[in-house]
Amino acid sequence: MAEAPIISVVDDDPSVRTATARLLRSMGFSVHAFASAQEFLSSPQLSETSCVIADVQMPGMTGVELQDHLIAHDHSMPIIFITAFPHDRVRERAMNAGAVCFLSKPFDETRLLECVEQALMKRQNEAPPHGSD
Amino acid sequence: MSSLATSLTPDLIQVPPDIIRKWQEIVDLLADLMHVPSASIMRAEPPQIKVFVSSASKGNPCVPGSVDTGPYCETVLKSRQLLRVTDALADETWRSNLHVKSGMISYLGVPISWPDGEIFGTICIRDNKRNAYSEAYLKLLLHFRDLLQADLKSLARLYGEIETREAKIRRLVDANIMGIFVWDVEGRILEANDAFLHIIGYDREDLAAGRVRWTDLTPSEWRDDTARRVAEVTATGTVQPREKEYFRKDGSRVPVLVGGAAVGEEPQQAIAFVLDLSERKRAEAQAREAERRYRDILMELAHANRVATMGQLTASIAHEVKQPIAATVSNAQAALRWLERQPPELEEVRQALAHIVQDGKRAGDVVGRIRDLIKKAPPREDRLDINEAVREVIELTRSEAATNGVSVQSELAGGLPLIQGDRVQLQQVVLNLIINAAEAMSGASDGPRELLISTGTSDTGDVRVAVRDSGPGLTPAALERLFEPFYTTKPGGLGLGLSICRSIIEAHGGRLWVSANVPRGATFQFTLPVHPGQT
Repeated sequence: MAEAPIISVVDDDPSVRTATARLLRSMGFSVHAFASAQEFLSSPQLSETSCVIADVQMPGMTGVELQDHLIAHDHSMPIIFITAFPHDRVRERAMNAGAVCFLSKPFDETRLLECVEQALMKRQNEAPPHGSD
Repeated sequence: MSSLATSLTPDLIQVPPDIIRKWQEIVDLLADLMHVPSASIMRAEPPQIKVFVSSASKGNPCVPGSVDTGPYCETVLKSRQLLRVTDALADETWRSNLHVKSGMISYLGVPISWPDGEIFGTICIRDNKRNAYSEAYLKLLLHFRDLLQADLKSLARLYGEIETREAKIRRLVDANIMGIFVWDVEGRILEANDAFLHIIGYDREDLAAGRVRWTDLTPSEWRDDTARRVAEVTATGTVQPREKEYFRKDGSRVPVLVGGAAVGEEPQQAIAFVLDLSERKRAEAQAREAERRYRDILMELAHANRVATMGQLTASIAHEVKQPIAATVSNAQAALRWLERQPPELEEVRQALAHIVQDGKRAGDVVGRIRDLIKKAPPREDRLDINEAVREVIELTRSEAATNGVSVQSELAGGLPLIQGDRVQLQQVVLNLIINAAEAMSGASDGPRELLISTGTSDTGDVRVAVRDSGPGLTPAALERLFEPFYTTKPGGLGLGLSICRSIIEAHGGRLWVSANVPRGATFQFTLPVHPGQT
């Protein structure tokens, strides 16, 4: 799967992080997992990532703050949020800022797959030429 | 109330019968001692002079009540001096007058005055023959005149006192601080002040026309009471003040306080005072409403606090439980996908299953960890009086208990040692136990609903708080499992209350347990160690 799009999973909960990564790999994606937003932002995978799947509640930088940071630094990769604490206000804010999906834990694999496909489609349409910098 | 307002002048003062009898004796004695046919007391009633009292002696032409038409007394009244006529027939001035015509040819008279100098009349002697009226006779007459003036003095003082008293009453009536009226047993209102008319909404014309009757003012439910009151005033002369209502002229009702007393010697009439209670009733109703709202708000706050605590706990429990569940679902779905590969990726499947086992255990630990969380929360190091804390909660729950028809009793032991702990947490425990008990009893259809909250010391010297109810009680199975998290006997209950209560009490170094009552109900009680600073 050399051409498989790279998906980055950011979640401070190791069980969820590993399980989500495993599920995405079983779907045929290339996956990198990160325990925090900072770890992801300072990784070499940042520029190769086609889609981010991030938890909302995380110590340090939250998922929503990560989204703000990516927008501010012109990394226009699509984001899918997963949370065990679905809050209407947070969902609204994330969606308004351009999130593709906002999923509640536990989530269904087909729903996740739909979201990822939708994200990759969006990425293809919007991808700027310098996206691989 | 015109009769109460009249100012009394001397000529309107009535001389009472007992004084008149005494005066009669005086004139009879005078006539007897002086051997004359006529001794009289005259009263000036301008423009006339009237025979007031006259001796019963033989040949006396002066009849009490008749007008004295002769010039003798008139002269005394005008001159305010003694007049002595020894023989009118021998005296040019007095020869022809009406007294001479009636045979009275000699006269001795002196004026009688009120203490203020106003003339009352005269005391005089007449004879049908020449009479020189010696100095001794004059002294006797003056002596009796002094007796009469002494009587007038006491009479005037009596009337003066009455007048002063009546002026005070007048002040009271006219000040219109309260409604005052005079009524009779026939239902009439004879007199009333403006304040009373204002209370019942009638005007003075209505009163004058006899349109205001207290029997009509009184609503029917007060009729029996009123009959008793009339009997009371007849028997004792007074009516104790009590609250009732009157109909106003417009048909509305006005709450009043009414008391009264019989008037003078007239048992059929009484004077009543009336206070308008409308304002006070309104204020009382407002105070009650404010009190009720205050209690409601407190209850709502307590309830909201409970709900918020529950909400927070359930949210954090949900979060904690959802993480391993979410991981399990993802792992299982991944495993299925690896199995469907041709050939199946069994190593991936094995890893996924291993994680599922791990996450399953983790989910099982979550509730325990939450309990640990509560246990680890360090209680605040307050020294506190458990009775005070319990009393506050009882006050807080009183209206909720009343709503559920539950009577709340408390037996708080005096002189308990202080304990160490977090007041709010402990109050939440007591609140929880009381509300649980009240809710348990509200479901019971029969039997008394009694809640007893008591404090005391345990055998081990700890402070003990017990909440005893008369509800349906608990089955042995329920008694055993009651404190387990998520165990509930209530529809819609979360089953966290008692497990949290136990956690709080244990965090304070105490114990919380439940026992069944005979014949029914349950008693929840907890102990708390005494503050280490106390013996």
